[in-house]
Amino acid sequence: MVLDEALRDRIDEVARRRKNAELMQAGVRGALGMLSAFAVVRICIGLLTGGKGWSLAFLLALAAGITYALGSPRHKHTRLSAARFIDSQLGLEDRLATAVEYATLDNNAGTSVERWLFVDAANQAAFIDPDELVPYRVPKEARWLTPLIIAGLVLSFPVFPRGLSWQIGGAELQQAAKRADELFALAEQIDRLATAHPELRQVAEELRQVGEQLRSKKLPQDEALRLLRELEQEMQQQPAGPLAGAEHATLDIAQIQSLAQRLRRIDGPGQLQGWGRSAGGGSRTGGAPVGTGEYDEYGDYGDGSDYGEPGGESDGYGAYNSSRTGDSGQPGEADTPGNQGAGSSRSGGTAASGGSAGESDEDWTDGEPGSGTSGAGTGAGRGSQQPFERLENVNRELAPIPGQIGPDGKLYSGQAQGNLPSAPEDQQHRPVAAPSSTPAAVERAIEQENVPLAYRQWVKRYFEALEPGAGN
Amino acid sequence: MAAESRDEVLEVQETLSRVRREIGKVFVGHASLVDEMLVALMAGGHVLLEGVPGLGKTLLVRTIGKVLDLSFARIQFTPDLMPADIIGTNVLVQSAAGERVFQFQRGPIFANLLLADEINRATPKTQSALLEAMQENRVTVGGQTYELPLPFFVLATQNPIEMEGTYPLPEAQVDRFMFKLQVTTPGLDDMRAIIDRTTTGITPEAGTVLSRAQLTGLQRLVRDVPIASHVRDYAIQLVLATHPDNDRAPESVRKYVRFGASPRGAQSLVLAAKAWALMVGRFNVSREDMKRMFYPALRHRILLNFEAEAEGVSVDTVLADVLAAMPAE
Repeated sequence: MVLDEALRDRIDEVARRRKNAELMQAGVRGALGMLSAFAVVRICIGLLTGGKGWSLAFLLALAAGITYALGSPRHKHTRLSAARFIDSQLGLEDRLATAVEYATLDNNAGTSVERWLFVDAANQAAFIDPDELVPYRVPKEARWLTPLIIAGLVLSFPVFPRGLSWQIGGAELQQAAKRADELFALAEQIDRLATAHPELRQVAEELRQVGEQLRSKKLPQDEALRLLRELEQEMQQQPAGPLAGAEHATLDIAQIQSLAQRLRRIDGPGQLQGWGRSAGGGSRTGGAPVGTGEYDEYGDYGDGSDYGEPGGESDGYGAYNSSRTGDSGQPGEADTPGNQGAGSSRSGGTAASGGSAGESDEDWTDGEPGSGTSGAGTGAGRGSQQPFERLENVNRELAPIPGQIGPDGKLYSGQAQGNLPSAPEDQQHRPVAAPSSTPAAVERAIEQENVPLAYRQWVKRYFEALEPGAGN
Repeated sequence: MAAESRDEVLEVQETLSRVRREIGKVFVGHASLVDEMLVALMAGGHVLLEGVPGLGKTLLVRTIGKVLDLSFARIQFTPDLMPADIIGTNVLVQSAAGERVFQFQRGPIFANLLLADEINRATPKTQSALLEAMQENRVTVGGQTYELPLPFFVLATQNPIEMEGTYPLPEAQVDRFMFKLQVTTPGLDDMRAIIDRTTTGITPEAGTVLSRAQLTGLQRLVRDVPIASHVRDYAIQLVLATHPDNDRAPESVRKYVRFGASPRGAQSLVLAAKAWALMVGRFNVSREDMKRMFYPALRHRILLNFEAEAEGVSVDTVLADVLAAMPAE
């Protein structure tokens, strides 16, 4: 028996459309799978690499999407299956399926009932509309496509927080590479100086090696930090060589020490913070103490500057014993028990490196001045944010205030007149700027403290009475 | 559709409609029961009618016999009925030559339509006398086989087994019936019509509308009805699902069924579905036809266990679960 041609064409059209619809659905599902996988993988890789890994995430997601699309259930859309589909959709009670199946039989002579069946099936062809039976409509799952596409686009950009990636290590590696570049630049400058100081060639070479290993991640960061310190010390020891004391060598030494300080800046606070605390000693570079692990108990590192950073070991109150003006290289000592600084001064008092004044994070004091017995150290405050004002006229600014017992044992009862007794020249230390900044501190203290409004004027007047020159 | 084919189809449908009308003149109501009886006749199957006395079972069978122009015989089954009373026996007769020879005396089974009334009141031995006749359309007596006239139908009635003086039919006997139909009490309107027709002086008579040859032709047509492979498979799955050890059997089957339907049940189901399809004017078997014929074709082939009887679970309930577990996809 032969199936009616019109009926056969319509059944075939339905089969074709069902196949296309299934492919479309598989494509949409694959796209959904890919975008979902991309979102997940992108987040994971992005967090690990600090926003990188876009292409890797895309490839993984693409593989996942293709796998999902290929793995989705596929059906073989034959003429018979299409006929069964039409039967179920139009309520034809298996007419078409039976006719199609019997049409494929080879030795089908065709009984009278079968002939009736084929005629009956052919009559149904007019009611078969493939477009209506199998419409090409967007699958329901596609409603998730738009938000997923938006999420994918957003995640394609490096929107990951630096802090998180910093913790994980992506940005840390970038920072290491940046430091390595700086080391290379520094090595070139040292190379130029090496004409006068051939021993610096080795320093430059070692600097390059450190930078190279740092960049290639072969060198642990802590180890690199240690090597940099050694190089710094090696450079600092140059003045002790045969050229020390020679006038023409002063400039070279200053240059070397300046380079050493730049090296110190490469080993900066941010690097230290990222690479972990180091238990380094208090090596100083012209008044720039090296930070220590204990330092972080009381404050952050100040910005590294040519004029020194806070350093030395502090055991309690931030009273750093920093030799600022002395050029004897003797370690300073704090006179306060438990505040002994461990900083050792090795540098001479050059304009660039000597005379460093520690910057204080508290703008009204920079620490207890240490009255060292051998070093002329003044107290260098903790890490500072604001520069303090140096006072030229110490005698006037440090006028005794009423109620204070002077060095001669007398109690000041009025405004002081004249000059204070001078300390020995090598022990002179400059006063701090606390008195001049007191009013602002007072104002701020009143604002910050929980002082009742009615008592604020009283408190203010009290502090103003303490101000030098305000008393009777 | 070609004119010739259309005429043939219309003729078949018109004939069946006339058969229904003629039966309806005498037998009131139970249209579904009548249709199923006709389906069984078209498929060449035997029918077991079950119902309490007085519901018109015998009347229905007699009417069908008359409408179809078939030779009709009735046997009232009683406990003392012997197989020879049904099949016939060899009797000693004197020939024309003066010799005494055995001659086979045909029993009432030699008819186109045999009404075995209250078949479960006879002993199983007598009931089994119908086995060969029902299956092979022949009987064997004294080593001699006798062919039964075709078409041959056994329409048996039985009272519910719980009634006094009944013997349950052997499983092999029951399995040979294509259908087991339940005759229920008619409704109010049907009862009115029954009273009106049987208590007045006018007794309606059914006429013959279908000859024996036409019925035989219909039976051939039924077997020619095409059935798709997936529809056939559906019938097989339905039958297999009645077995408690089948993977797709529902929970009720596992719990209450002792034996499921036999392959003969599947044959009966497919044949009945074919006849039903032709009867409703379709030329192929659908899965809906299977569902329609599922209950009458299989309800007497399922043997429930003691637990089902104790809990009052009927076979139809179990079959409903089977249908629910096997949706026509």
